[in-house]
Parts: sequence; C-alpha cells; structure tokens
Amino acid sequence: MLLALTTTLALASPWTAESETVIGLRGDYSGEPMIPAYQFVRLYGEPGEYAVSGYAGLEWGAGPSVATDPDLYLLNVSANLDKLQWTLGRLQVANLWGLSTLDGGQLSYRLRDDLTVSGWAGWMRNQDLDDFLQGVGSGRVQATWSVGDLMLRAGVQAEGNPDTAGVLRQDLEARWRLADHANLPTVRAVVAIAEPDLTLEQARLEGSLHVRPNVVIEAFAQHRKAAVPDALLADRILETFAPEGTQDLGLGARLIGARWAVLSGRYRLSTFQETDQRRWAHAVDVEYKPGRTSSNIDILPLYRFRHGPGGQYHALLAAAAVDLGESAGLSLRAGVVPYQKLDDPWDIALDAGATVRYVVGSRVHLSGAVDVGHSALFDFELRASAVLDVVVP
Amino acid sequence: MRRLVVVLVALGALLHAASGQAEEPPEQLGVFRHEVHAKVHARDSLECVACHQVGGGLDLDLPDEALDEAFLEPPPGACHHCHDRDVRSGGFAPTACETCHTEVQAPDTHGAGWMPQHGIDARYEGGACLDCHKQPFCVECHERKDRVRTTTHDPTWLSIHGIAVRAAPATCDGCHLQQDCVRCHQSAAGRAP
Repeated sequence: MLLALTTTLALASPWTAESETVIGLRGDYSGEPMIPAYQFVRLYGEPGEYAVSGYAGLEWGAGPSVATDPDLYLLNVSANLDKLQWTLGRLQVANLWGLSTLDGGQLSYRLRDDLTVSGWAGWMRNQDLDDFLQGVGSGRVQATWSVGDLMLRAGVQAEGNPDTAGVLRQDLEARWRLADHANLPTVRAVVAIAEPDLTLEQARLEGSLHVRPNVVIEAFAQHRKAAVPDALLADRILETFAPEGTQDLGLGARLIGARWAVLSGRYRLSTFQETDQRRWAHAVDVEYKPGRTSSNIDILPLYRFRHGPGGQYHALLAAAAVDLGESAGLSLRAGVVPYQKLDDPWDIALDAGATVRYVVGSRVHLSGAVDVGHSALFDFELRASAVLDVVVP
Repeated sequence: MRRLVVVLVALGALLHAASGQAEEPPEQLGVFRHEVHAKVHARDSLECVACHQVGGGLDLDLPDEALDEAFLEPPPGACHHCHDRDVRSGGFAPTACETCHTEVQAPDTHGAGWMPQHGIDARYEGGACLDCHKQPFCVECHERKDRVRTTTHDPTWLSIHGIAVRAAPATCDGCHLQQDCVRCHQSAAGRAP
C-alpha cells in the first residue's frame, strides 16, 4: 500500500512525495493498551510558476479511542507572480486571533512598493485535538502600509454561518522597529486592537542588544487580552484563566560560543486578575544548544521553573544525540520533574527514552522509539513507536 | 537543585572558554561583496561603521589584536538589519536564507522562550515564516492526529500542564483553544479532574 501511494504520487520532476508510516503502542487515559497507526502522505510540486502542496493523513488502530478516520489536512495550488500571489484550496490562514484552516482562496496584491492589499474568503475552521471544529464562512480584506521603520495594517473580517448571526471585526496593527546600526539595540513595538465583536488587545515592546559580539541581552514587556463574547469558532484559553488580560515582563540573555553554540536564559514575570484576586507568576528557562560540533555526542540540557497560582515545578530535561556513523543515529532523552500542585505535597514526573534512526537508503529511513515514565496518571507508562519514511523521487 | 546550579555554572564556564577560541568566519561572509552593496549602502547613507563595529560599543579594554578583529568582522546579525522581512527591508534586500547561507541557522528570534511565542509572531509575520518553512511544517504539529510521538511537549508535560497554564496563560493561548481543555476535563469519560 505504501509503495502504491508513493509511486502514484511520483508524477515527474519537479514533484516530490513523502510517505510516513507510524505504528505505536501506548496506554489510553484509562490504562487500556492501544495500538494506533497512521499513514501520512505529503506532496510538493513546483511546475512552472505554480506551487502545489498537499498533506493527507489516515488513522486507524486497535484499542479504545482509536477510529479509522482519514483526513485531508492541506491541498492547495499557489502562484507567486510579479505583484500578485494567490493560493486556492485548503490552506492555513493566520490572523490576530488565531491560526485556522480555510477552504477557499487567499490573494495578495502589491499596489506600490509600500502598499499591499490582501485578503481571503472561504470556510474557516479550527482544529480540535482530534478533529475539525464546526466552521464558519469567513472573508477578510486588509491593507498593509510599510515605510521605513513603521508598518501599519488595517483589516476587516466578516464571519457567519446559516445558524447564527454574522459578526464583523475590525482590527488595527502597528509595528515599529529601531535599529539603525548593527550594534545599536533592536527595539520592536507591536500594538494590535480588534473590535467590536472580539475584544483583542495586544501590545508588545521588545528589544535586544549585543553588549559584546557574543553576548546578547533581551527584554520584553507585553499586555494581552482576548475575549470573544460571541465566538463562532472557539473560545480563547486566555479568556478562561485571565479574563482581564495578562501583563508580562521578561529579561533574557544569550551567550553565543564557538560554532553557534548557545547558552540562553530567560526570566518572565506575569501578572493577571483571576476572579477577585491579582495573581503573580514566575518562569525561568535555561537552555544550552551545542551548535555545530565535531563530537559524536551532543548533549542539550534544559531547565524550566514555573511558580504561579496553580503550583510550581522544576523541569530538568536533557536530550543527547549520538552519531553512530553515516547510516545510523541514536537519541536519548530523560526528564526529572518535581512538582507541587496548589497545596498538595510534592510529587515527581519521570521520563526516559531512546530513539534509533537507520538510513536504509537515500530515500528510506527507519526509526524506532521507546519511552518509559511515571506521571500523575500512570505509576508506570510504556510508549513505543516505529516509523518508516519514504521519499520519492 | 544545588547540583543543577553547579552543572549550569560549569556549562557556562565551558561555553565562555570555548567562545574565546579562534572561530572560523561564518560561511556567509565569503558571499558578501562590497561592490554589489555599494550602491544601496550609499542610497541609505550607511557608513562603514554601520557594520564594522565592536559589538556593544568601543571596548578599550580589548587587546589590540582582538580590537582589530572585532572591528573588521561585523557582529552577528549585522546583515539581517536589511535582509529581513521586517519593516526595514522595504522590499529591496533579498530575504531568502539561501541568498547568503549555505547552512541555515535559526534566526535570532528563535531564541529562549521561542516555542510559546512563535504562534503570536506567526500571526504578525506569517510571510517571514514561509521564507524557511512550507505550510506542511505547521500541519505537522497543529493538525496531524499522531498521538504516538510528542513534538512540542515532552512526556512529563501531562503532569504539570495545569501549573504551567496558570503561571502564564498567555503562553498557552498562543496555540491552544479552550476546547482543548474541555475535551479531557469535562468529557463524558471523565478522564481528568
């Protein structure tokens, strides 16, 4: 079946097709074993000035909560002409309040060097964890004016379906950047407001500075508020946990070493109104990436700390990549996460896993992975998977 | 915790020591041609010191050799002040990575804390994402149903996500909808409290 799928998609150069077959073993939330399997196919082609991009998936398996359910995630044709860009089919559109799947078309036309008009129209849906949510008809027109350090964008978006009243959203977005010289601080400001059917306020000020050639400090301040009183698509998480919005302050630094090795750290302070109480929360992230090294083993440690009204945790995670030669590789990972929910006693989540990858040929890759762990749901959990990747041509 | 601090300090010291070693110049510097850029630099009144500077200002404590080297070699990211899909490029400077890079590194924006931030940035600069990523790259995480492998959150995440969302709800909001919570916490199966 796999060969049939990939062979039929291998139309001719410049077409490329990729097949990915995944078989797994894990426990459902109830502890029952399940054996899900997936078949994904991706297709890329650029005949002439057009580009075709497709992505489809099929799921089936044994065990609870696994349904046979084919899905077409993405299949579209696009063209990038001199001043005009268009896409037709199933595509993803991003706007100030989310990323959605759109069955329809998207168009962008450059009127002048500093002015672009764009928009889309079609049936827009959001993706639930397992399936598409019921969608709405949607259309949007926006104008983007960009000159010097300033960009202004104004848009109007309409949504509606036969069962509900339509909504009209207007939004305005401004971005500004200061960076005249290479070693002056980069400062970017973003302000976005959307009304009246959706209250969206976003303001972000961020900056970075090379205090030395290999040392960068970063800082940001952010305000976000999102409330959708008549959401046709779906409610926001922010609306649930921080209906009055959040304010965040962050400070970070990056130390860049030889061959792009990077040690980075960041602190973030968040405050928001939760019911009748103002809350404060702290977050720390420290991460090291070894960059391009000649070593056979790269180790990537990561530390995360969170402290807020829901409790606190320290996440100590590490991944290691071991080069086993031209045709094989080994990835190891481990996690130790002590955590305390609300006023509960401290508990711990653990995970250890390994993935082996083997290159059968230039177009066929195999991999197998095993993870064992201990979590809030399972005293002992085993996960395993095998993946076969085939690229044609 | 003390052990973690020791490990991180040791890592920092190692990295700092490594950063002092002689580095090979980035491959993209070999691509740069002054004669090609002369016209546009003159148009924008860019002087030599716009690029050839000591990062962060003139550090007089540097030894002469290091000073010369730092002066001659532009600091990291100097080219991106024009070659950027951001507002300054004005549509004139090519922004495709392969214009200069034979080996593409993640841009400066993909630094610490990038993952929870990327959804918000993608809404502002979706076009910039497409310089490197095709749309199926988004689908890989956002829409595929693969419940076998974890790509964003590691396996320990299930135990601590409730703490994380109440510590920084704006972070989760970058990718998830309320529906994602309801699915488990209010489902008929009663999987989660």
